[in-house]
Amino acid sequence: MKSEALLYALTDIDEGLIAEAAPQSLAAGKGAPRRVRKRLLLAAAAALLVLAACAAAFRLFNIPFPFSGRGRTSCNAAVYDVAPFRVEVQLPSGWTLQERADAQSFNDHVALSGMWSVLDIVDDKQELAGAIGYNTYEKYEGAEDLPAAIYSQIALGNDYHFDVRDSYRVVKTSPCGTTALADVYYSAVVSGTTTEKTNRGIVSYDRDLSVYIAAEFAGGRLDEGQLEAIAQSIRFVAK
Amino acid sequence: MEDEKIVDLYWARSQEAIRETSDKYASYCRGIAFRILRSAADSDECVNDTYLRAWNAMPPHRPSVLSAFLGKITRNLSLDRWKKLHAQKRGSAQVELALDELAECLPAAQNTEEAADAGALAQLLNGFLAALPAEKRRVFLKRYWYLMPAKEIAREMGLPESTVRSMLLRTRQALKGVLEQEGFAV
Repeated sequence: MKSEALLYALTDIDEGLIAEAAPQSLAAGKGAPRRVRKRLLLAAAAALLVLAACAAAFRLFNIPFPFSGRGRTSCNAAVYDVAPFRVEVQLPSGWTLQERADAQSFNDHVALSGMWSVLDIVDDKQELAGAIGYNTYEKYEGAEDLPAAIYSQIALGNDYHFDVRDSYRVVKTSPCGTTALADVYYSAVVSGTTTEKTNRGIVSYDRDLSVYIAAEFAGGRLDEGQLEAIAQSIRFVAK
Repeated sequence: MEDEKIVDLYWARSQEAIRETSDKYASYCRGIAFRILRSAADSDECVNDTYLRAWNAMPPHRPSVLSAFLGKITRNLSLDRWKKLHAQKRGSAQVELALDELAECLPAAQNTEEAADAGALAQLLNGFLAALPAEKRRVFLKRYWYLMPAKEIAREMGLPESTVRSMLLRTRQALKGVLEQEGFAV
């Protein structure tokens, strides 16, 4: 329909022109009729409940990877030689990122083993709340989108792994990849206790860049709504 | 609350942003939706969806004019819904009237959807509208952006209805000329 295209195109004209022509009857803040207002308030309240999971204020981080050459060896040079890229991610307000000084041991409560250029995520009390890092992956024909193939470096260990099978839950899909939540498993052997332990993780890959990131959060630090909000915010940007 | 502060609330991911938006712009957005859909329930849904879209868009977006930014979202959502309802023979006659009138701007053999993407068309419309005298521009946008009937425009602007209609006719003719000139016509 020809004129329909014109009607739609009009939507995208300058906002200044739209505001200038606004009908007096629709003036901002004029207030809807009481019945309508009540319905809108109820609807808004319902929307707020949905948003309540995201109640904590978030701050957007823009992380360049590789973050630095720290940790680079002749064995992992190919990972550090990847085309630089950035990852946008929201974290709770007051939380910060610090480049990890040394490799953590499994006795630390957030190991994020198997990843490179790891940044510790520190909460507003300066306690370790999580960690984030990246890695590269190879595409295998017929298994390009299989989580176990993409995240093999962190998914296949016996004593520590991201469980990308049973607990893997996709929260966002784009033409370039997928972002998902997953449990991070520690066996009793490496957990430093007599029992197994589980943290929560986020994994996300970008097939154009052939890289993925993984973030691990200490158990109980974030609820599922917050984790999902963080996962939803992840975006890869080629430099 | 000032628009800038409302936008700051969105950027801080505070749910207050939704309440403030609703307080200030629910009526505005609902008015836009209702003119297209003529249904309170459908309009309410579009307005609620507008809040969600705004929440998802900010950040990273920081609108220059919040009302128009929200209005655009509502208008798009409402037109999409209208399209769906139209297939089921529901929705507003006002949209059909506007479409019939706008069709006059386009030569019969032209298929605008194929000839140009919406972005290029919007850019052309921006230039065309900016060059119009302010009164004509307001009349045109009240009719085709806000879908107000000519009678209502006349009342609001203190003009005879016949003047509004002839103003609209002349503006449509001028737009047709610009579309032809810019290669949107055969």
